Amino acid sequence: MPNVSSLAASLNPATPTDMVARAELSEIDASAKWPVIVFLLSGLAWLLIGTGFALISSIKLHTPEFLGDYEWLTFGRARTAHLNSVVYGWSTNVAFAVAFWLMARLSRAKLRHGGLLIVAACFWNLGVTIGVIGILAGDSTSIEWLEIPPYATPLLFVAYALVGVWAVITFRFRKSEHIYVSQWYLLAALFWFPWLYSVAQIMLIFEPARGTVQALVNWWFAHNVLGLWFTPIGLAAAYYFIPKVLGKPIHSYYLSVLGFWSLAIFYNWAGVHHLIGGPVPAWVLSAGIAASLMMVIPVVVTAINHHFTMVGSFSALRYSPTLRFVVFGAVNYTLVSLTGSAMAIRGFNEVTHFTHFTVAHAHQGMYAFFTMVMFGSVYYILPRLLLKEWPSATLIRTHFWATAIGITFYWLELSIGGWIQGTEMNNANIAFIDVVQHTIPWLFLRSVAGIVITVGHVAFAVNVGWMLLMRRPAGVTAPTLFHSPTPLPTPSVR
Amino acid sequence: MNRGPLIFLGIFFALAFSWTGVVLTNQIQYGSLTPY
Repeated sequence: MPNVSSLAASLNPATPTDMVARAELSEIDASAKWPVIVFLLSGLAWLLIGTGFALISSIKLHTPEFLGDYEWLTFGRARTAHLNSVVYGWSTNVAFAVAFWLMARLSRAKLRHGGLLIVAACFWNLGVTIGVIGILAGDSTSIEWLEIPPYATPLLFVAYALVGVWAVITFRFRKSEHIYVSQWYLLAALFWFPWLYSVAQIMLIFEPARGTVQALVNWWFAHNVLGLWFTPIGLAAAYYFIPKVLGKPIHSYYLSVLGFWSLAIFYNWAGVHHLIGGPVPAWVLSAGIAASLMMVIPVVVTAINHHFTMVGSFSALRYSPTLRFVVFGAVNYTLVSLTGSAMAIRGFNEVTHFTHFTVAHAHQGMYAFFTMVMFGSVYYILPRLLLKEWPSATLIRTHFWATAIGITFYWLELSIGGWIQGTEMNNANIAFIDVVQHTIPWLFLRSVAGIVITVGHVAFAVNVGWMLLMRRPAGVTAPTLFHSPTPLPTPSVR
Repeated sequence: MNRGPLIFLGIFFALAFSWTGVVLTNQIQYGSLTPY
């Protein structure tokens, strides 16, 4: 395999250092191009499919007769198909794409034998497709976050084995001696996910544990998929793109270290707070609640680090799509994590448990934080892979405002509705059917928010499709920004 | 934090800690009880 930096230098030893570095980055991007694009486009397809299932299941909650005659689209199946489409289809595909690109860039190493990664992408998407069809056909396992039928999961394992091995190989052949904070998060996520998934599959599907141990394993897995798989990938991207777009280093290396290790130690105990009030050993719940509250440390530390990196550069949010999406996601990471810690407090949990408040919280984590950071990452990565710019700033603007307003409204109204639902359920004088009926206006508003978000997704998909199909310009083009920065005044020459 | 093996050990023991506490301990303690 040719060594790119030495190739540029060997053609002309007098090549300037920055030009050699650019050539090297461009070769790394070329090596990652097709695997990353295949994962990204698969993810985009699943995003649109998942959004369709989301709208169907959302409308069904306030208008049950909607598509009521279709066995394959009953609420239980459509909602589960939505969850698995967006979690294993959209989120995991885009996480793989962003993780690969970041790992290659930060390791300054070309992605080797990318064709096998494309095979992995085919296996993964085939597994998710069979899984979602199986769910729609009524074969769901009914275990939360593990609903994909057992006959589809071996495909996912094969795909993940290829993906994990390739990420480690890229890291192993790194040229950079320094291991950046984003790489810590990527390595950890790529190691943690297969452990979580395999333990959950074995102890819940293939050789089920007895009694409430199942519930413990289920929430150890499900909460950690958020905290130890999607969260580290999202944070890795935020730690990379915020300083990268601003052109300055992250505020504090030591805060990064503290944030990483405190997340690693505390998050994985937090999931059992979903079982507060349940028939599991009390000490486990207490440990889970304590860990949930200790999560304030990594969250505040990361927020401080990101905030002080941004200080003095907030005006860049006017121009850069990547920065605006990523910062929106980073702010929501802080908010959703602090809310999560509060939800683990017994008094708070008594109100929010079994209500739509939890649904709002989950969407703030998976969408307002993770998905928005991934959107921002795609806006940065795709032009570098395709060597052409985004065709329409208007579509990017539509995408941002539709998704940002949509998810904020979604979170806000469903949190309020969920809180009211919780207080009413705790009131023995209110009949349960009345509580259910009082949630209908909030569920209707949720569908409205969902439609707004869908507009954003369509704008994103059109922009991606347009970009893929348009011709590559002959010369160098300026990046597509929300606004053109005001040019600096030309100094007068005397 | 530039030492890959140390990072690996750290992330391994971090998850092993909760796996032991939440999954393994409870499985040993009452996971094999038969219905009474």
